[in-house]
Amino acid sequence: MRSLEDRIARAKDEKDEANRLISEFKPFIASVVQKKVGRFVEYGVDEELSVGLMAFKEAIDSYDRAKSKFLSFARMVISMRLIDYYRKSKKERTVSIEGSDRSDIAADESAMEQYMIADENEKRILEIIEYRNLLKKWGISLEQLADISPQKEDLREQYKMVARVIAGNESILKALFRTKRLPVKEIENILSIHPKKLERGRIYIIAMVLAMVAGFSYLNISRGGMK
Amino acid sequence: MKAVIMEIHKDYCIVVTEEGRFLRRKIPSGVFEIGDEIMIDQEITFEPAKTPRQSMVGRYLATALVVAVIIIGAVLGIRFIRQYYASEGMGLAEYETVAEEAVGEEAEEPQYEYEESAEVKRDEGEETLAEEEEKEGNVVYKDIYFLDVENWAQEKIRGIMFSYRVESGTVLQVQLENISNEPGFDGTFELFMLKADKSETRVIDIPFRNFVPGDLFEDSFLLQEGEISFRLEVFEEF
Repeated sequence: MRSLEDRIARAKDEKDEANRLISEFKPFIASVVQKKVGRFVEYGVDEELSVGLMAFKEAIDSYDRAKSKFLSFARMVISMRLIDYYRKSKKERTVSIEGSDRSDIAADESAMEQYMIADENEKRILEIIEYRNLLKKWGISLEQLADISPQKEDLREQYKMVARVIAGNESILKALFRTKRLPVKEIENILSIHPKKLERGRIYIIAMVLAMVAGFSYLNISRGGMK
Repeated sequence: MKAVIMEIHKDYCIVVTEEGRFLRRKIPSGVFEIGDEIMIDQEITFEPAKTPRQSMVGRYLATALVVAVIIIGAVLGIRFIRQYYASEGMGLAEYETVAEEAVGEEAEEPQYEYEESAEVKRDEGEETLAEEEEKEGNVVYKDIYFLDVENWAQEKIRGIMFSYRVESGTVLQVQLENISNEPGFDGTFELFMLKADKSETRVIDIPFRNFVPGDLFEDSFLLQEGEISFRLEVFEEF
């Protein structure tokens, strides 16, 4: 799998790849903007997000992989462009940007260093974005997972066990990816679980399988939320 | 318990916990980013994990209780009918016929009709016990739900789809729909409203008599100050 830095390099020349990246990283851009302006922002409503999108594009174009990690760099560019935006529009309503001058820029530079050190956190963000994209391809949203995620620990463990069996068995895994349906009979032959129970946990099991197959290192969903 | 923020929405975020649970949690706006780790409340467990042996014992006890309730109900019903018709001066043959019919219809008889006979009041102690058993039934489901969901959360319980959501953070909307193919449900859905310290503020009773497939119940309840969750207990009458 290509690294994010490889994709950035490609996106500098290919507009489609740049657009794909912007689309995939919209939640990240929004979360950076929100943290900066200190309130919830919505695409199509808040102008700050347009500034964030443009800053992200600028970050793609000007990124030098020898100097830093991309997300840290993008975060810094977004912050700087938001400061510029508020200076131009002379708005004084935000908490974090209010009265920002050299001290804020210095703080951002310092933050950038911190982010470079916090490499692990950055990789986790990348894995979250990758996981969201994987789920999307299967028509699964995080909202759905929050709705159907089993409350009972033993049931959750049972479903994880099923997911491990699927992820560890090439033929079952291929069948799942080919048909996009749980190969219930094959699983029944290995684990004695009632088909209805399997069907009820279908979405959660698939979500676990996708996390296992993706081999996330920093977002270990199948064992827990984090490394 | 630690959790990682996976997605941020206006009033809440979606996190994944150390145990692999996806949950919605309220967070202050503009403070957290995707990927941040936050601490969330420990899950409250009401029923400790049962060993297979304990489960078997529980099943036997439940079966024995159901049989006992049926026998007591039948005995009390027959005694009542015998006393009632004896007081009316009815002949034996006539009484036997009526008694058989009455036993067959016993489940459909409203409770208050039994109290019309002065003779029955002599057996007040026994009847109170029977009433209590009938009212309480068996607890067939017990779990806790948090009041931080804006979208409908659903749970299928004994063939009934229980859905709830909290609108504007102040109104608890509840829907119950019988989606089974089985005969009507008799029992009660009880919502024990809880504060953060697990203390009960009130109990919302939703009783059902012959709640047949396709039936839908909807209601809204104004949340009281400090209520953050509720414990749902479902009693089924047999």
